[in-house]
Amino acid sequence: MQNAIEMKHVKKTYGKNVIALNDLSLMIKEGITLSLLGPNGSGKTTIIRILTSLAYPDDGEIRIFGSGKLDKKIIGCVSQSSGVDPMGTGKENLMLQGRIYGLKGDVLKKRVDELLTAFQLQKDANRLSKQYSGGMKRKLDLAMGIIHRPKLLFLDEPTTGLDPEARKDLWAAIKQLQRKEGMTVVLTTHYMEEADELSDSIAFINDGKIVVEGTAEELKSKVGKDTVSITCDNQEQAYTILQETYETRREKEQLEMMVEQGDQELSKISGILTKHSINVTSISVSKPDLGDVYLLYTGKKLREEENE
Amino acid sequence: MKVWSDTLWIFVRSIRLYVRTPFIVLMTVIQPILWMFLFGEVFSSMADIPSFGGDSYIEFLGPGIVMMSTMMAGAYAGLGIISDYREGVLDRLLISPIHRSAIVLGGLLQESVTMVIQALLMIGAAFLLGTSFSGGIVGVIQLIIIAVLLGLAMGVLSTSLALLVLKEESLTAAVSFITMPLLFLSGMFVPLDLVPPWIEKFAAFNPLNWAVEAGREVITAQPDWDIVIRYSSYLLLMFSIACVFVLLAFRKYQKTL
Repeated sequence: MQNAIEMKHVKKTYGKNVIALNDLSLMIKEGITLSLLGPNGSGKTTIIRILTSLAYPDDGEIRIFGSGKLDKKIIGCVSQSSGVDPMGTGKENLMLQGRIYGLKGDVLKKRVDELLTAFQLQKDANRLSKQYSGGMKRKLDLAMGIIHRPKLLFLDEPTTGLDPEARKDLWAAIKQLQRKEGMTVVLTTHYMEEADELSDSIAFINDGKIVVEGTAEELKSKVGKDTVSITCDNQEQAYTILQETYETRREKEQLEMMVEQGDQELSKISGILTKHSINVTSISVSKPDLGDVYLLYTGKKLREEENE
Repeated sequence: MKVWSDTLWIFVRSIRLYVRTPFIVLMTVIQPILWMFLFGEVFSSMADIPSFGGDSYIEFLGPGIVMMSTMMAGAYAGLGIISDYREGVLDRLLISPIHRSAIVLGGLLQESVTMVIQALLMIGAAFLLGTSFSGGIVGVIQLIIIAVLLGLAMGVLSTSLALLVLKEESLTAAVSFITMPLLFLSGMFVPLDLVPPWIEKFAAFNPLNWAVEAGREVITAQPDWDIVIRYSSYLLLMFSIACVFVLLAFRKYQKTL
């Protein structure tokens, strides 16, 4: 399979001190959906801007489908900051976007109708887009990004700011796109669930560098261990006792332990605490998630609000 | 050619935006007539000054107000690109295969249409207030062409500045700072023979003054073509340099991303 994107030793600095991309290298195979997952300021949007030729790298090599010169007609982009003209109707926005990409006449009209139907915007097609809800605007954005059937689609935090229902709605639309259009998709997000749901492959980015890449399962298996979470009386004493046997950390109101086989350890942990007359309020086991992977490779947690 | 079809589509979008903002349409119609009337009234006694050298002040002022109006319209043209930047439309366009010139030209074409309408309204008002336009229809058309050229040059410079500052407040402040001296350090309100010599020297480099002087000539029965060609060439040169600036400003904008 051909590489859709090859980035080698790409550097980008803002001003003198802010390093956005730090000798970053990344290969993305054709036909897959890759998520770039990382906190705000990690360099995700800079990657998209450089790959879409909106921003210039300071150094490094970039090839899109083997070519060093970007053919803008083969890419589509849905930016974080939208791009919908608020004073145009949904239909007018799509028509203009199509015309810029060289679509004309019946072909354009048919494509616009097809997208309005696919994204359930048909009945609002002639309303000014400034009257659209956030979710509708995002759908229109997405429709504009794919009107010319790009081979490579960039989605820069497509669901940021949407409520959970609108987010799920947009995920469904993206999944349908992947099935129908078969394009290569590069998605940036700070939502782990979104990356897990939509991607064939995930690349974690931290401080302008890719720290690890693989499928969600591969990445989770690198963590290997399950997490047992406990809430109990006398947490300080429990922490001291459990630390003697397990890798334990304090996490807000609870204690967390990394164990090989969580299910088997539950009763054992509970037993130790009961023996020391510590009352266990709740105990549960969870399999590794992408947040654990990020923690493993960067020593940092993805921020709480980004995990919501 | 794709650049022309792209320009056309951006023009269509800009016109649509314009007509969907009724307040701006209303201002486009009222403002030039009001300016012509107010300035004509306020400075009407100017013609009584012995060395004024003309019969009627409105005859003198008419072409100047037309030029002032298009210059001001052009000077604020950059606000459109800042609005597009804020809405993310600018980045979407820059990612697309559209030619950068089309982004600017499409907007300027819409500004030109507005400027022509404003110029026609002001010429009509000036005519009703007593300006003779002895150069006839051809003279009026030439006056409009010069006015639009000035407006476009200012429009491209305004767009360049807008791409550098990216804030409405900053652009508005800069436009006021730049246009006020241009208005008063020119022969628009008062003949240059009546002002201190340093103002006359400044006026020689003032694009508004070039347009006013050329405009006054073309509406006379026997224009001094040397003046018309010289000052129109200066305006054309200014427009061309402004076009280079705007392309550099786009590059500079993208370097900040």
